[in-house]
Amino acid sequence: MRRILSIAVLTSVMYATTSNVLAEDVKAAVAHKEITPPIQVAAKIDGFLESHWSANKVTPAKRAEDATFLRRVTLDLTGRIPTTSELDRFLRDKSDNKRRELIDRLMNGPEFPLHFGNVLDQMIQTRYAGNSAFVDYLRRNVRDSKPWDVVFRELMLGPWETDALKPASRFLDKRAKATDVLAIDTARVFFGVDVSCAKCHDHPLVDDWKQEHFYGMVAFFNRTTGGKGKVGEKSEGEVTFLGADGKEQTARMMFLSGRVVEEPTAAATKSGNEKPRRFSRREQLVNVALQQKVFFSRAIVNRLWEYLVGRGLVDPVDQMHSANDSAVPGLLEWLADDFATSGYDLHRLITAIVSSRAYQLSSLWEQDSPLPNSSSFAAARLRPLSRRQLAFSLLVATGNAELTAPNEVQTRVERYAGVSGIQRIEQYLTIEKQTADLMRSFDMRRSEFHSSVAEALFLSNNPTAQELVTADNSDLAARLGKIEDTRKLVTMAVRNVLSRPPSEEQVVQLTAWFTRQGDDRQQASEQLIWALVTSAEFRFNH
Amino acid sequence: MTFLSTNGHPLNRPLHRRGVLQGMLAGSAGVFGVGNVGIAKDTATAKSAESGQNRVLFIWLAGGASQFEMWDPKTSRETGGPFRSIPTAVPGYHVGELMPKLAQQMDKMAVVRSLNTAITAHGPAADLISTGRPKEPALDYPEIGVVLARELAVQGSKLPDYVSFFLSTEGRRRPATGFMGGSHAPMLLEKSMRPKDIDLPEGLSDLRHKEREHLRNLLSSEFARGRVGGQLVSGYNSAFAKVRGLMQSKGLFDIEQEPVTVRERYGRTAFGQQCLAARRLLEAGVPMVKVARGFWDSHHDNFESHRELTPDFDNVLSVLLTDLDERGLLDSTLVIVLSEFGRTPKINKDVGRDHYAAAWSCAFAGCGIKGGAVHGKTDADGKTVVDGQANASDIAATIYRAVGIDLQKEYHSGLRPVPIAKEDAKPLDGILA
Repeated sequence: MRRILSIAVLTSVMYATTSNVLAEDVKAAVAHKEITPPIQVAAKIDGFLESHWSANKVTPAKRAEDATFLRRVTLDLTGRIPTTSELDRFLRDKSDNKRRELIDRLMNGPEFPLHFGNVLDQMIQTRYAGNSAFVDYLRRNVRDSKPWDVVFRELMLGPWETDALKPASRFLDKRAKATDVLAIDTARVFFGVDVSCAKCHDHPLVDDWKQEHFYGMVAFFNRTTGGKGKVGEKSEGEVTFLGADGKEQTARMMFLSGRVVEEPTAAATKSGNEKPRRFSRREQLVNVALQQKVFFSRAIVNRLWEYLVGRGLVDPVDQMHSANDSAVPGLLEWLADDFATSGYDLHRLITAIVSSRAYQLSSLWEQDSPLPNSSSFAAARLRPLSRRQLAFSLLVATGNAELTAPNEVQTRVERYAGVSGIQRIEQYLTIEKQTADLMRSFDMRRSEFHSSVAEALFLSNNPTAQELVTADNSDLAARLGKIEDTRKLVTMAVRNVLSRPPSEEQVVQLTAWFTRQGDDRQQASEQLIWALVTSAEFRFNH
Repeated sequence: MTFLSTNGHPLNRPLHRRGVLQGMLAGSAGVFGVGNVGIAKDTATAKSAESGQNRVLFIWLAGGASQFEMWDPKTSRETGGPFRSIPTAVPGYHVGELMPKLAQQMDKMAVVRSLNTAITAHGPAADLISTGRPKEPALDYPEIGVVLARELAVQGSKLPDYVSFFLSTEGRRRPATGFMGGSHAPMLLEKSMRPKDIDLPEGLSDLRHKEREHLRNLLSSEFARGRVGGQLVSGYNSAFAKVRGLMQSKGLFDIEQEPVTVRERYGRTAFGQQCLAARRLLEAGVPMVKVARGFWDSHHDNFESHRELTPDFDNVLSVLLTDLDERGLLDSTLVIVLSEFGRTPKINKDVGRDHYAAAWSCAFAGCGIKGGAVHGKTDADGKTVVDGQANASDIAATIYRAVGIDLQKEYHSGLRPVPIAKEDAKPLDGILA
């Protein structure tokens, strides 16, 4: 634990030196040993929420059961359900620290960077997500604990010269043909603000956003060129717009905080005989965003909170403004500040959130009082699995995918090479490849989720979906078909698919259903697996 | 020219449509082999007609059909092209000679000749026309058809709310569900007229299929009990609850079940067959059906391609209008004929017409529409709108009003209230009954 932390701090410092704005902050923090371990951050989160609950006279739900917690955190950190051996290991473990150890195991295992590269890709690229070079770039960042401000700087400014960093230009390149789209997407993704309604007039609902903010953001990007794989920046060009008064105005480079960046005059950029340093408007944006770090740090903290807890502290996540308060007073502000001053360490932030009490609550509401509002965070929320999580988990549950521990030879190979997890990485990427076709038939995870009939039809009738549960392909179906004791059979099915032991009541119920299905035990096993993988318990993270 | 004023009353409005219609049919010999085919008093027809449910058939002429060769001919002008114009059932109003059958039925239709929609690139223009709104980055507005399906849906119906045929590969688009999300997505028919995943899986008996769904539903409902976010589970379960109903309705997609004579009338073209399938779906109570017909993008040989495409369109739409009328469905079914834009007045060096959005036409019939109305006017060469200019939002508002949807009704996209029709849209009251 301590070792991991110190590595994280070191890499932050290493990267931070390339980002001139924050280097001093981080160095100061490290020197004063201000960087607290994630477990203390989690305790601080708990403190904020406990005050919030008592202020609102809410008693939160119970702590989630061990199996539920295991499934939840495995899905969130690796993108798949746990295997039965992972389930057994966790349930057998009687130590008090087992949740903390599980979190460390997952956060430092080979699958976390692989999965989180996809998560960040969706978050950053939205409609342009899915490019494997960009995903791999993000995966390497997560694996190497590259600080978030460094990632942002690389996406906005490069350097993009090496093969490893070239994909980082993709965020700009996909949007460079329409600079107002580039400005809007940058503000939504990295600053948690949607200024698009202020394009034609001051924002009708939000006093904070004026036309000046919209065009101010555009002005940082109007010289950016690209769209064909190579991003550049011109040295001239202005943004003009028609103000509400009908007069044409030239937009100033203005950040969301209201801070205006002045363009230096030709004389100012020239000192002595030196060649004038090239003035980059985009670089000014990066600098001002990292100086006025509130937007930049709160946006990512809020987005990760939403990803892990199901609702942003500010909701929706791109509507951070003065009329849309954070749900838990002080929490987002504190967490974002802590995140910024400790070197923008995503690893530490994610560890802290999944270690918090709020994350580990049950999604069952067993009290007489009515269900509290979602902004109270007094119970876990059902979250639809993403299309990839669903496809991946389907393959794992039905035994269409291989996630085995390394054998003796493989262990020796990894030890010899001095790297662990190679075999798991290969297995993971193999399964990911299998998910590519399957996931297209599923509904996208979005904040307002609606199940489509197309997904239900696919699961009910499509040959591909049927093949997943037939003994020819499904290792689970083949194994179940050979079990003569029906109670054992249904228990095994539930453990494999729902990642928990069944209740006695459920064993009785499923045994009765199974017996009613007639003599063909193989057929009945397949239909039992189908009913379990298509049940709501499987479709959602709960 | 003395066309029917949009504020005036349509002339020759038949008191008994069917009587007048049959008179007209008798006059147009050879159009229909027999005069008394398929006048249905049977099946579900009567029921859905009496239920007061309104429906919509959205015919999308992908690529941009030419107003000059169809609704707004400029015969003998340099821009007019080689075709003549012919008189219609509406005194004073002429259409292109490639639409003789529809000409006879213009008293059932309304035409708008004054669209000015500015955008001339296929994708953005199609987005504009099919949503009725200019694009805004943070507002993902759904297609008009998706809104109509949601508003006209019948509670508890086992049928899909929206079926979209787009079998031609050119210009294929999927109706955007925007902020309404996946549960409002239409059933898409793109590869075949039979829906996907609607047959019982091979090797599975109907009984097992039902039994496993029963168990799935039971497990899910038990899981939802006392669960925070139980409405997500209800939404998930109700999607599955539609599956078996849809499987039972698959006969609706099978036009082989129509009498041969009816199929002959619609013609054996793909467009004809899809319109016949559309009629079956509308009749059974599907509130929203879209049929797209591609290949109207006539940059080359505009006149040859319209000589090829327009007679099929003319035949199918006129048969369809008659069929809907005879079945008592026309008064409750709005038929929309739209493209993403029209074609240029200038005839280019390839004898083609290019994209043109400054002055073009669309047409309507049926529910809420004043038959025989002609809205707006272009100049003698068809270059500009001189009267009654309308934009995409106006057309969307006209569509919503025709089927009785309150234009001020609001949806929410996140926190933002969004009225169904754009705030400044002006429905074309002159073509509304």
